[in-house]
Amino acid sequence: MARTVAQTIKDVTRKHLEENQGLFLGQCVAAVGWIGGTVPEMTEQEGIVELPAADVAGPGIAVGAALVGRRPIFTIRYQGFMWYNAASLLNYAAKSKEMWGIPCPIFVRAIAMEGGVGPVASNCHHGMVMRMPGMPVAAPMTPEEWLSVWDWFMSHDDPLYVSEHRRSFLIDYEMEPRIHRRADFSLLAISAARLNALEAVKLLEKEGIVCDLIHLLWLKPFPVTPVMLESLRSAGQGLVVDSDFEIAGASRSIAYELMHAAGVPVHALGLEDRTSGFAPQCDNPTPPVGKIVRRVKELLTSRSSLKKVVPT
Amino acid sequence: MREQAFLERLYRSLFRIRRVEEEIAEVYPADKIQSPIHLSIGQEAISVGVCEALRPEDVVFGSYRSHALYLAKGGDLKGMIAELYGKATGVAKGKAGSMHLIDAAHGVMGASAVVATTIPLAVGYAYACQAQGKKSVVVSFFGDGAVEEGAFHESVNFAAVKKLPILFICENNGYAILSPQKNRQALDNIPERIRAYGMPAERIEANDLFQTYDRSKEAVDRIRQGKGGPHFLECRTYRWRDHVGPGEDFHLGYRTRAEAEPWMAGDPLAQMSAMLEPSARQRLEQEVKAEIHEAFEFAEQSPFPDHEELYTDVFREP
Repeated sequence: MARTVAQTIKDVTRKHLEENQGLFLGQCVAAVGWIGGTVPEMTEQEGIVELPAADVAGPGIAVGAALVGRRPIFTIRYQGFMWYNAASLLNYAAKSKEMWGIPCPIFVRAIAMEGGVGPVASNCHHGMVMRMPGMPVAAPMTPEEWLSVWDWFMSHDDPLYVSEHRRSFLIDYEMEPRIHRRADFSLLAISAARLNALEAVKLLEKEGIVCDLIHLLWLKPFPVTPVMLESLRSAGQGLVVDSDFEIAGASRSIAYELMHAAGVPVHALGLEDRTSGFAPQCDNPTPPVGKIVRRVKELLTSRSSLKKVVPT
Repeated sequence: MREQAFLERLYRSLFRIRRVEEEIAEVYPADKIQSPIHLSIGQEAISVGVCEALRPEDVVFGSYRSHALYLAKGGDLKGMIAELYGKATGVAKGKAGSMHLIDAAHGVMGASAVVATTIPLAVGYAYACQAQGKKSVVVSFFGDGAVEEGAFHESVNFAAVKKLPILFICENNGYAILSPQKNRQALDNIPERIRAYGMPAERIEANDLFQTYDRSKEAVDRIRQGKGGPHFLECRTYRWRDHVGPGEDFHLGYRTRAEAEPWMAGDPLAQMSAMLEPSARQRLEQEVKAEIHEAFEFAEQSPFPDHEELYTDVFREP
């Protein structure tokens, strides 16, 4: 049986604590299922540090440990809490190397979840981190992706913000890009939106609309690859779908970069500009499959009508 | 009876900090210093007293008003002045300025512009040191405003729970920027509040240099021996100059010169000066003045960073 993302994180964490003098810090680590089964059931003597309910100081304590060279893994159980946790991570760890020449390598596991978790805890917030210099951002969804991100962290002396999503924890397979010779549309997706986009692509294909689907792992720095450019230029337009807010978020930022690089329109679709409620009708989830399908069709239609009035 | 060498060491450190900051204040209007400055003049005795109790391997974290702390702990003077000038030879290559001084080689692990934010960093540093069996003591310096921050309370709680090797120094100058303590805190009882966390805490009145040293020494020695964990000192002091800038600010109306006068009259620098032989004092002062002159000359002559420096120390591509 293949190893899941959760098991991968757990195994890597155990090895880090046992072999590298690493530390793991977080709130309520042992209390509720060892954070989705991603944390080895070890003791403080072995490197698992249970922090008090210290949303402001907790990350600072982890940053302090990073300065001693312990390469701590700091976990934020709900990524929305980054709005409280950000001060030490963004104002100190992210700047330390550039400003002082003193590296502060800390691995931030910021875990998103969705579905009735309310206004603070919901979904991804990697966009807020992307705008701060000094903090690379990745959003792995598969075991190999998570491992590659970890390897990057261990071979660099930078802090790293890892936007995890609970929907990835049980994934035990890899996701290859779906590229066609002449696709009608190019979809690029981030985090849990990748899962919804995959289903949307299948539905669109049943209606005769062929879509490329490219999975985005690194959000910052964002690597524009030949595969992305070829797909976008071939399809003539694209859409970046994300589990973070659309306005000023990763989807719009990356769409902008791709649009300029490829020379074709690239649109963005993320969370709506409103607070998530706990009730299902008030939720603000990752763009659902149906919404992605509708958006792709709208864009294809508008491109067709545009072609009629604007000769190319 | 204190030894003469001890007294000379304290006086030298006090005088050096005072003269450095007076020189900064004098130079500042010429716009050569590239960053805002928060002078410690009037508050030097706290940093000098505490740092005299430390060893080179001990580590300090400070606030934006950390010139005194930086120098008292042994931070490089030339690098500091060059940093204020924004020069390439500064301790952070001109990128950090006055509020973010650092000299890791001398145990100055950095200061920050944001109130209370280095307190948890100091606690985390102490935690990791304890876990690795290091004998270093960590000292966290902050002002009375920081005591109102959530980060402070979360940090002292954690330090007490884990019995960490850390000394907390609250430099209480009575004002958070321009707001007096009585307008911000219902009770003037900071140590009492800290003791509720399970940590010894005490107050040192009126810029008392010797008591600051004695209490710090006792606390640091106890912490180093692994006996009982953290300690907290509230050190009452007074800022003579602007909150930010080189001048005085009594005209602003939030405090009066009459309030400041007793503090100025009890200046530890003047008290220490009277304890030294005049010839020894003059020798020390000449040495310090020459060192300061050399440091400012060094800063003046140093180049500004190249434009390429903007792209150094930034993270690499994945």
